[in-house]
This record gives sequence, structure tokens and C-alpha cells, in this order.
Amino acid sequence: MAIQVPTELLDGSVLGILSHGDYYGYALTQKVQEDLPISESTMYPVLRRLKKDNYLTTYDEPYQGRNRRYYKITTEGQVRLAEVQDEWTDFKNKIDKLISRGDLNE
Amino acid sequence: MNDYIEELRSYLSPLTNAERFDVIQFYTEYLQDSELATYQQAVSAIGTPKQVARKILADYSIKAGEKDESEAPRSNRSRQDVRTIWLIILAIFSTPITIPIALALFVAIFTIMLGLIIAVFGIGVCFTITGIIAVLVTIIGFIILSTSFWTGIYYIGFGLLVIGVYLLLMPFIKWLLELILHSTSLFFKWLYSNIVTKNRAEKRGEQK
Repeated sequence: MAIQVPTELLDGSVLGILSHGDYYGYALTQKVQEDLPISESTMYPVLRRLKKDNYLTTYDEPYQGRNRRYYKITTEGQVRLAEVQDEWTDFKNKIDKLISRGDLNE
Repeated sequence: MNDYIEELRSYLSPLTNAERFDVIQFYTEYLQDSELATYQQAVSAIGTPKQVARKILADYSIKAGEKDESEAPRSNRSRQDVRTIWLIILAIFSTPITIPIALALFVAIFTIMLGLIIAVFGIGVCFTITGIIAVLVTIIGFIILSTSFWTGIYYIGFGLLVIGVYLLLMPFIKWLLELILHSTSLFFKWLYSNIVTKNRAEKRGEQK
């Protein structure tokens, strides 16, 4: 994919995934990587930032004698997600309009 | 895997214990879940511990810098500034994608650093010399006090005056040096957010 993913959209994508359920680090990274070519080392800074901004919380759950840290979206996170969705829709429509030149004369 | 985590830990020494613990916990869990058992597997999947650490440190330093802008004590801020500049330089150079840009930037960064060092050095030398001369004049004044009283008094007065002004200016000079340092740090933050972040969005997919 030649188009690079800006931070805002990466944050939004993570929040979008979490709005469907809680994930642990590895599963979340895999989920994002299904669609976006991000590197593994990108996820930690993203999750840390989202947590610091109170968009998500974490809780630990035991798994095979160790803990797995799960990430859960907060109400603030939901609000932020809606914002990103709006911004993205707006942006997407503008780009669509510009890219498909035929529509310009409408 | 433990080697990888230990190496990563060693690169994270600038962080607080809690922050470091958090990072280590994340990557330990990640490696366990992804079943990357050996050091080599981990490196080929998520990069060397050094690369991972630099990315984290640059991120921390920038965020911490923004937050502490007003509340941090001055001396801490200077240290923070130096750390930020250094980490951003490392981050820029450790990202393979940005190396062409980094090379172009290298000259700019080098020039700025050189200018900065000369400026700081210049101010420092100027002040040291002025201080030494003032002290010498005062001492000379005392020495000739017995032979020529009024000339001695004149020298002492002049020397003390300069020392007085010197002491008064001290905080100002300190402030000036900190200002130079802080501006450089802000410049590098700007550099990082404009050049690295925007261009960095992951290109791994293209390389695969």
C-alpha cells in the first residue's frame, strides 16, 4: 500500500477495533495488520498514547500461568472514535471528489 | 526471548521504573503470544531491541517534554532538553526509511550544533576571562595599597564593581544558555513531528 497511515487514523482504527470488544496486545496488533501494513513496534506507542488520553483502560487476566493485558475502550474513547469517524468521512468525500475528476462538473 | 527482553530493558534506562515495567510487560506478553521463541525470530518480526527502544524513548521524551513545559524545574528542563535533542537525532537515524532525509538533515543538524557550541563556548570564555581580570585587578589593588593608597583604592573599587556586575549578570547568562538549549530542543521536536512522523507511517508493507 503506497498511502501512509497517519497517527489519527491509526488511533481511530485501534479504537474502532476495541469498540467491538476487548483485545490483548498481540491479537490487537494482528487485527490491525490484517488491513494495515503497520510494524509491530508501532503498537506500543499507540496504545500508551490512547491510555494516557483516557481513551482506553487496561485490565489483566490470567492466561496459562501468566497475565494477559486487555485493552478496553472508555466512554471518552467512544466519543473520540465518533470524532475520527466524522473527520474521516469528511476527508474521504473530499478526496473521492477530487480523485474521480468526472464528478467535478456536477 | 529472555535475551531480547533483557537487551530491550538495558536500552530503556532513561525511563522511570514504572514506565520501563510497562514496556517490558507489553513486549514480554507480545513475544509469548506471538510464539517468537528465539532472539532471531523476535528481531526479524519486530526489529532489534535498539530500534524498538529508540522508538519508545523518542515518543516518551516528546510527550514528557510537552507536559512538563511549565511545571518542571529549570535544571530538570535543561537535562530534559538535552535528552530530547539526543533522542530525536537517534530516532531520525535509526529509522531506515528516513536515512536519505537524515543524510540531508545531517549537515543542517551538524551546523546548528556547531553554532550552538561556539555560541555557548564564546559566552563562557568571555565571562571567565572578565571574571579573572576583575579578581586580578582587585588583588593588584590590595598589593599597591601600601605604596600608593588612592590608586590601590581605585583598583579595588574597579575590580569589585566588575565582580558585582558579573554576579548580577550570572542568572541572566544562565537563562540565556537555557533559552538557547530549549529553543534547540523545540526545533528538534518540530523536526521530529514534521519529518519523521509524517514520513514514517509504516512502509513495511511495501518492503515485503
